[in-house]
Amino acid sequence: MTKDINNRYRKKIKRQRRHRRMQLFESAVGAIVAIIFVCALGQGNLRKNVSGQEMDRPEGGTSAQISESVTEDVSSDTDAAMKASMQPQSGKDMDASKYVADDSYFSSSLLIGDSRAETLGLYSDMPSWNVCASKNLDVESVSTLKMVDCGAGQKCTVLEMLQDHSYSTIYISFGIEELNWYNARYINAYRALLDNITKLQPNAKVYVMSTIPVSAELSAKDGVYNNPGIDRLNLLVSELCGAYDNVTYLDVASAVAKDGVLPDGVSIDGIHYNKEFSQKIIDYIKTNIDVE
Amino acid sequence: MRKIFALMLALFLLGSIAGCGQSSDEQKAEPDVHTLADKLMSGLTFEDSVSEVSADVALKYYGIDSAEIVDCDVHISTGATAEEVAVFEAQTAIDAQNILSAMKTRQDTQIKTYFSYNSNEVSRLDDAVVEAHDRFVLYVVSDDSAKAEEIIKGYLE
Repeated sequence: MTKDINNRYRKKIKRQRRHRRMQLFESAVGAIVAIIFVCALGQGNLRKNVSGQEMDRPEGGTSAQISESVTEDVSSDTDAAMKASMQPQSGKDMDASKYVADDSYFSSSLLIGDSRAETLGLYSDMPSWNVCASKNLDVESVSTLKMVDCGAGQKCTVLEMLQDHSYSTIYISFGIEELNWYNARYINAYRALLDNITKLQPNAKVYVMSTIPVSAELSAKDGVYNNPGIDRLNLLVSELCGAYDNVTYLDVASAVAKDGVLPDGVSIDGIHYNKEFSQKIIDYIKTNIDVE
Repeated sequence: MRKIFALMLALFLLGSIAGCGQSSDEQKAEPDVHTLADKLMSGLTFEDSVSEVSADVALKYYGIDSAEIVDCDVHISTGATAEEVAVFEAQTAIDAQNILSAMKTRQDTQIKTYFSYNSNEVSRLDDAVVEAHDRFVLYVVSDDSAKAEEIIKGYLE
């Protein structure tokens, strides 16, 4: 009898233990199922963030991009800021007055020019650089073409704009559109432009960039767009620049050309060059800044 | 019985998770200006070298207010041709219409300029894709606007 009772008791204990184990097992399975279900929901609900770039507000018009942050007066403080934006090149034995300009240097700089200058500004990756450049623009029409947004939906010429904005440096790049001009017309127009700019911007350093050559192939077959013509205009302009105190002839063409011509592979028409070549011009400008 | 049911439920859920789980490639992502621009640049053939222009420079050049933009991806040619690819994602539908208006002005200006500069480009510009899809604005100047349309619709719709 006692034995039966004991056996029944042991069986009862075993059943209870088995029941408890099952309860634990079922709880664990339920918890795992719940976790998996929550993870599945989370995976389905997660969205990729499409992040945009941080962008500054545009500072100017369409074909002429003028910074509104350029101050009215160019004082010695601006010169100090310009010098502060440059870093001396290390490890090079060079004229101590020449520094490497960083992008902030270009916020008080203006580029004026033709289609090549327009693309140079676009490919520079420097939104702070102020650019007044356009296809078809030449050294005469730059003074008369109303291409700069003056506000209130009005357009004005570059010279009119220069009456209200001051720049530390002004880069001028022409010479392709004028290849079929007489020498006298070209030099007289360039002289008039430089007279106006130096009068309107007496504190600015003006850099007249030499005209980049065209490709050998184009030069050999074209009666207008050829390198002897470009060399002729560059010589005239380099002599003209010597007459001005604040005007420097920047011979970027000699630095980036290959054997006196536009290198192969950078242009499909022998005149307009790609971004990679434009970057070489930018690098030359940045490393040939006269601080004093 | 309950054990079997619990085990089956767990296995079922595991199986459904594995079956529903998708790779990032298969999962439909939000439209992205860079992906669409890449598809256009690789799907179309260009005569000129068409290079990327930084967003800040492009917005300033086009005269577009950066406050209206979520993101953009712009590629412009050397100037030898008028080829161009510009993809914008606007903040709102109204911003998209403003951007569309700016790009139509861009098209008109380019036509006037190239008429005297390089008249061969005028027909390319006339045929350009200049349109808005919800908040996305496209400006594509190429030799094959039909293909550009196909790429755009295939990605955005």
